[in-house]
Amino acid sequence: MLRHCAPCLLAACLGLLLGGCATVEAWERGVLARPHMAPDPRPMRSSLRAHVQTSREAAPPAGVGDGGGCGCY
Amino acid sequence: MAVVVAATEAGPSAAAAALMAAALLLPGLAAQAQVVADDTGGLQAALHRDSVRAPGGGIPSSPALSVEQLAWRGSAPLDGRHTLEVGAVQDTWSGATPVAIAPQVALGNRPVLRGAAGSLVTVGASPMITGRLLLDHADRPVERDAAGRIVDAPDLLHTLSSASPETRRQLDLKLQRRLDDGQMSLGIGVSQERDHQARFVSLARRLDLGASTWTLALSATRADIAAVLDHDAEPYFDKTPQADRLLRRNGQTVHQGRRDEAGATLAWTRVLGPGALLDSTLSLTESRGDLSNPYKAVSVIFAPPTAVEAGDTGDVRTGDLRALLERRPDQRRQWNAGTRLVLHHEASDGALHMGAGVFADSWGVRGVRLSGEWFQPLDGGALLSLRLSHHSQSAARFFTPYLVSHQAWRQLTVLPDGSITARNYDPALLPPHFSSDTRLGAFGSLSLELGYSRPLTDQVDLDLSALRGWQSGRLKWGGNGLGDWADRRYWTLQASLNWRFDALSPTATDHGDTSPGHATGTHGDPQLPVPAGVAGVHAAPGQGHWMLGLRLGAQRWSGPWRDGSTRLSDSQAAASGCAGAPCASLPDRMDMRMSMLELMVGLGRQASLMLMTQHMTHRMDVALVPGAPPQDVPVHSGRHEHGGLGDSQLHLRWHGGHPGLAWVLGLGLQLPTGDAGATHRRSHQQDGAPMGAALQTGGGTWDLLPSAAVHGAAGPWGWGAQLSAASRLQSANAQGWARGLRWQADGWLGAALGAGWGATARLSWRVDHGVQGTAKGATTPLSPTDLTAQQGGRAAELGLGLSTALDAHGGARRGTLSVERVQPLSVLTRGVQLSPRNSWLLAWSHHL
Repeated sequence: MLRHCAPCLLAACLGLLLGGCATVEAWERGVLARPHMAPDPRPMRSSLRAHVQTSREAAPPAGVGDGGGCGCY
Repeated sequence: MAVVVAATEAGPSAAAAALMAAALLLPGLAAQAQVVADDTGGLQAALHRDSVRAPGGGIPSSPALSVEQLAWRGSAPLDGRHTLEVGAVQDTWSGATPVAIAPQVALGNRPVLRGAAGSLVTVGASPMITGRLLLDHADRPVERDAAGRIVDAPDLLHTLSSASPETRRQLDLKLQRRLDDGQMSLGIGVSQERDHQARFVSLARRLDLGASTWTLALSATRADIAAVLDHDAEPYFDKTPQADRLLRRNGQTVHQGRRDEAGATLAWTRVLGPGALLDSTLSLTESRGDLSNPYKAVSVIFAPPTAVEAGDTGDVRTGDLRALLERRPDQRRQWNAGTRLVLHHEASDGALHMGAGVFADSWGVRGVRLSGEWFQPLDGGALLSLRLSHHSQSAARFFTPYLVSHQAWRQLTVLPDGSITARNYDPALLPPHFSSDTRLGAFGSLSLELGYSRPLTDQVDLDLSALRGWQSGRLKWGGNGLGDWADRRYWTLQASLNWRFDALSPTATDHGDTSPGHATGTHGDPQLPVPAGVAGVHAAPGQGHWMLGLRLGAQRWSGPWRDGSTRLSDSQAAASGCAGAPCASLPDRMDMRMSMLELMVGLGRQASLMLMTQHMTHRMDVALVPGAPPQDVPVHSGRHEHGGLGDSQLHLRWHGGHPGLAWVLGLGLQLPTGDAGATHRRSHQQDGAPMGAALQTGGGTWDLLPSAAVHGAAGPWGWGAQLSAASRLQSANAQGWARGLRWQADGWLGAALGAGWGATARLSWRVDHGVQGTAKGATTPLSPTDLTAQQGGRAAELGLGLSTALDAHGGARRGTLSVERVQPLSVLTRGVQLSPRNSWLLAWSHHL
């Protein structure tokens, strides 16, 4: 099982490292509030993409679990 | 999750709201996202199409797989703390789908020939999942060349089947509660297909801590599978691997199973700097139960050592190719981790989104996904994006293109007494699990997506995207992927409207202006409720005013049968419903669903232009008539479905009036954008017959749609009347038939109930001349619905409805939400038809 988890743990550790400890004050967040700076600026596009991937690949994108049927196509 | 929702916003208004939220709310982005996530919505239409597959051997390509998707989502605040999110998805797919993989020499796709003797032309392919082929001493497929020598034949091919359109519908509801330190949400959903029903529930808790936001989501899904095996191919399948999950029901073989899935997702969002953001996700999913695909088979070549090819030295054996239903493990554990880094580029004001994800499961699949996307803001709030993504995966341990088993599929033995016994193969000599589903194979895929979005108004934006993808074994990291035979190309087109309102809640105020002349632009003023089933009173109140609307409809037909006003039993309908000959099948239920998007703009003080486009789905459940005489053509039973884009309409309307009375005159043109030529899938070695007009999504003709309406108000009461018609400009469509004249008269009364609510009662009288002509290629009628003469009729209906006004803050911009239940009062059918049942209509409109 540890072998299965290794890539995921590696990715999580990488994320933590990249996270650092920066503090960004509220008045410094103007750029972050721009629509194209959102983690997913077009969620309906992403949802469609994820649905196609789920139907076509063995590895669904993280966090996708829409329960769609047998995926015949 | 809420951060994701925030991303729906675009345009100056959304940006300003987000900026304000970011400035005011500490510390996390999630809280900011929640503020702007309220009162948003989106409607999306998408088309996905695979490359046309070539079966090889000079056989023309099969029809490409095609998926049409319609998705709708909305979010509205219930009070200061609670928000309700609603999402609905409907996708309809049809076309070629692989059923197995086989060596090319097995001729899994046999040519379909047409034409006169001596001049036959190959027009298509028909799947053949059994056959014979030669194997060498190492179990490799071989063949004889023109000189009779044995040569290697390593090429593989998908054995392709095709499917009639099938529709999946999914509904999700999520209730969110805002907390001081984050958010709690509870979600439920259901996904329905002909053969698959899934229900799911999720619980999520978001915690805002300093510069980070953590979200833990737990979910559980239960799916019940009841897949009817293809009656055409079923006799050729070896069903032994799934014998414990098959049962016979109504003369059909049904794969029945249950699948339970539990998942946990941990998401983490962190602000790295004024222009940098990191978003990471880690998820674990545990699936148990029936995880096999009932429509996928594995080619097994049974080649006992004794099956030596005549005339050879023993190096070549004859293999007996059989298709066994696949068998997967009953448990699967999946790990999924992903990270996305968002960086702002100051010089261009663009943003780079870089993503990386890894996947691993207990079946041995390992996947890696890398993506990069650039978002470039343009003038006027527009946004251009370019995305490049690569995915690579290894194969599941039990994936195999085909199997070779050193035993006979069936061994016949002559006993000493002269009798013959048959002994089937021993399943224990096969691997415990095997699948040829390409999705579990080793391959890579590359996709390129171009997107463009721009605000239409300060509340609505349009988003367009086109994706082109390539999937191939050569694109897998490290090589060793599937061969060229599994390559595919695909594209996906998407268009969506996303809207954002400051608030969307039932008004509790009276806005004063209740004159009908003004209300023609508001359709559903609290003082003038209009039934959801009346569309002709819409008109924009002035030049440049825009209105967005969504209209949903559902109609059902079921027994008893009718002929005119006379009720018939099933046996009477079967005896008289097929032009004198006894019917072989009878539908017992038909359903229609319609989703229509309306967009209106005012051309002047008294003129409006309206575009209406709709998505239709039809479903018909058909049962065989017991004791019916045998037919020359295949008789289909079970569920028939079709769905897709329907006919579109363009309306020009003039309106006027004075306080207390308003009138609207309309002239519409119906464009034949729907499908009027859909056919059933090919089966029993015969081409599929045309579907009946009741299953088509379009009429195939250009039509005129005149209408006239008048409505008024007196105190708390409203009233109205409308006359509308559909007149065909062509006598027949390309398929040889056309819908006839249809007209309808409506009269209604409305009453204001206070607090923005209104009630309506509507009486309507409809005359429908059904369908004229007969579709080319139509076969002998086997069911009453096959006869075009048995469509339409006359009906009187009563509709009872409720409506509520939806006002933006300040009451300057108005919307309405209305629902109506329509009940038949009197029905006079043309010929033998099922009885119409209650129908439901829901209409939402908003003035932008």
